[in-house]
Amino acid sequence: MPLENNFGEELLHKIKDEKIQPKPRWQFLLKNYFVWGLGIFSLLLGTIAVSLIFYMLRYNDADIYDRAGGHLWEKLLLIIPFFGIICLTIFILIVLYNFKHTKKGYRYSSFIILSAVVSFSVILGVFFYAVGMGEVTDNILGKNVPFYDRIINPRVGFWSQPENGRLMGLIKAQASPREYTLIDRNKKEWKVLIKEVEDISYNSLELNQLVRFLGKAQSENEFIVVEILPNMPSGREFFGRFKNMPSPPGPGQGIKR
Amino acid sequence: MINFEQAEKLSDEEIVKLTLDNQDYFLFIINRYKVKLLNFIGRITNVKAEDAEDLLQEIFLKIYLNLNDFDCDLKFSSWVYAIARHQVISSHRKLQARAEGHVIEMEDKKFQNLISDFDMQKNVDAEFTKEKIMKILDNLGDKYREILILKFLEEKNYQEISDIIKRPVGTVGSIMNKAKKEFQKELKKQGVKL
Repeated sequence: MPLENNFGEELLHKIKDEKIQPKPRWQFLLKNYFVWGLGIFSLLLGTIAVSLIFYMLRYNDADIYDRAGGHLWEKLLLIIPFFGIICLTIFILIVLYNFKHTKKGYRYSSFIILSAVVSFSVILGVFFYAVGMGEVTDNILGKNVPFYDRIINPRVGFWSQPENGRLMGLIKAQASPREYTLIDRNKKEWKVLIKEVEDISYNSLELNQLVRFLGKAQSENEFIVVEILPNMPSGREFFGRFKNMPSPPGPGQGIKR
Repeated sequence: MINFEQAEKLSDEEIVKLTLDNQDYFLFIINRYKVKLLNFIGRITNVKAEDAEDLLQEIFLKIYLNLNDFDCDLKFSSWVYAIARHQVISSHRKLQARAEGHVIEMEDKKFQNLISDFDMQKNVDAEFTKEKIMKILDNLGDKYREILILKFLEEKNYQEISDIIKRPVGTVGSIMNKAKKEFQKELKKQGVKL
């Protein structure tokens, strides 16, 4: 293709006439730092997601679900911490995208970057889990995220189905050694009757304790307990929101505080 | 004052440093790359000649604006080609295409490179084969045409191609293999003896 002889001179005149200047170096550095910073931040969030996954897996209650009923797919949804896995996937993809957009990120294949990011996330995630980050994360989410019981920790929803014989909540009052008032996840009060339980461990139920029961709903707000289940560590802070709710009037005496 | 004789001997990277202090040095960069880039535009797009010149001007302005972003670890020519390629891709849709397709011109030396790489018989009619090769290149998919052009017409190595198209060297190799296979298939179809 032909080109005018004075192409270069004309272009240089244009640059001078329009006072065009190269963009300052700091703009490129800032962009570069932003890309790296966002990548590193996402990497850290990914490792926290890993610690949450391990935490949820550790207390998966797989042995209890057989007694608690529910479909197989439902149990699978409860055992596998999907929220953590989805978060981890998103953060890993953000890291991949950002790394690819660093100055020389394109030189590495996506497979190599993904392998490195996943390995790093798992190793650091296990360390975070070991120092209690998984629990802290669950507590923070449970305390602050509105949809915690539906999306982040569906186990709360599963254990809050009195019509299916599962009730979970916070002990708010004790009327007698075998009768308690419980607040469920919808802030609804339940009269809980521990009649058929041989085990006397219910005696240790305390005010504001998070408990899970298997049994049957006798009426709209009355639940007969058949089995008192061990504590579920995850979701504790979700119910912690109800701790400051006033105890129901009436049978509030004799509560262990 | 610019010493033209001395400046001509400087490397691209040295000229870039000087340009950041004195914009007149940018003329050396323009003069070194204007023909190469114009050919490159013609080879990878099918824009009209007048549009190609406008595109070339935009590319140089972009190079000038981004001079501070140039990383000395890269070859300057790779950086320039990467900007040109990016600009061509983003401007391509706005520009009118030539009815006759791409302008793929080939000097004899480059034609010989291509012939030896594809083990074509050397006793065939050179002009006849050249014409067919240009036609085949013109008809190949963008990805394959681009990589063959960078390798055989722009004479870039794999690392340079990787820096230009922003893909890993391994991926460049794999695209290259597929492009060659596609090219060979077309050669056979056109009746060029291998």
